[in-house]
Amino acid sequence: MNKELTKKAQRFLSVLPHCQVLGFEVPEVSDDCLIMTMPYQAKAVGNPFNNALHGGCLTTLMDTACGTAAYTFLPGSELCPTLDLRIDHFSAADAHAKLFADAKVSHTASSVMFTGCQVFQHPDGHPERKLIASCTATFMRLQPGVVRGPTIDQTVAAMQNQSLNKETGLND
Amino acid sequence: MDTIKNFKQCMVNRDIPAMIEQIPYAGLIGIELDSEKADGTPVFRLNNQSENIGNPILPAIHGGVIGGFMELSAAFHLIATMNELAMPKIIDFSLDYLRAGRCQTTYASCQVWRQGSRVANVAINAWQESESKTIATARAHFLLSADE
Repeated sequence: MNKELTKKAQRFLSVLPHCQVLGFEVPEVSDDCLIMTMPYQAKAVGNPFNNALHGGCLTTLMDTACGTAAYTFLPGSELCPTLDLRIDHFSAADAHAKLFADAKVSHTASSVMFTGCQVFQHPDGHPERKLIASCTATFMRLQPGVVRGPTIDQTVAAMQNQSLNKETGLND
Repeated sequence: MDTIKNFKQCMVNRDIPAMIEQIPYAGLIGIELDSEKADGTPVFRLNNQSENIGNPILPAIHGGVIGGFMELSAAFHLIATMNELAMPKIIDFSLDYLRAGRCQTTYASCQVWRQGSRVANVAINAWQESESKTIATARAHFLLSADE
C-alpha cells in the first residue's frame, strides 16, 4: 500500500457528492492499482425480481474508480474528464455483498489517458471472488498551462470549511 | 412475492411511471417519463438534484449517473415497445461523453436498431437545452429473458 497515493485518492473522492450517496471508499492504493468499494445498498437495486444492483451503480463505480486512478497516478492535481466508457456485464451484482473495483492506468499519453477496471464480489458461501463487470475508460488530459477553476485541493478545503460552518452554525 | 407480482403487472400494462416507482435506483437518481415525440417515442427526464453531482468544481452531473439514466431509459423504452414482454438485462454498454452534463434537467430518448428473439441493440442520446446539442451518446445490448 502506498500511503501518500491512498490519501490523495481519498481526498479526491471526498468531494464527489454522488459517490458519497453511494458510499464509495478507497481502502487502498498500491503503486499501480487503486481499489474502490461500494457497500450493500438497498436503494441502488435495479431488478425487483432478484434484487440485483442496477447497472448504473456499476457504471458510476467504474467511472469513478478509473477517474480516481487517472487523477491519483498523475503527478500534481490534474482533473481529467471522461471521454468514453465501455462496460461488459458478466453477471448480476448481488445487492447483499460489497463490490470491489480494481482500477489501473494502462497508458498515459500527452492528451489522453487509458484506464481499465474490474469489479468483484465475495458472495456468501462462495470462497472465491466472483467477477461482476469489467470496463475500459478513456480520459482527456487538460492542456498544460490551462487553469480551469479551483484545484481539487482548494475544493477539498472549501468543502471542509462549508461543512465546518454548517456544524458550527456560522452560516445561519 | 407481492413486489414481484406487482412489478409483473406493471410490465404487462407497460406502465412506466409505476415501474419507476418500484425500482429503487430509478428513484435514487430521479428519472421520470417526460413526454412522447410526434412518432410516439418516449422521452425520459432526469431531474436536477444535488445528490447527482460528480464534479463539484464545474459543477456537473456524475458521468456514471448520466450512464445509469441512459441505461434505465433504454430498458424502459424496450419494455414499452417490445412485442413480446421480457425483462431486459444489460449485456454491455458503450458510452461516449460529448459535453459536460451541467446541473440542469437532462433528457434521453432511444432507438432500437435491432431486436432479435434474445438480444436487442439500442442507441441512446442524452441532451439538456436542446436535442441537437447531445451531451452523451450510448449503445447498449440487452438480453431479453422471458423466464421471470
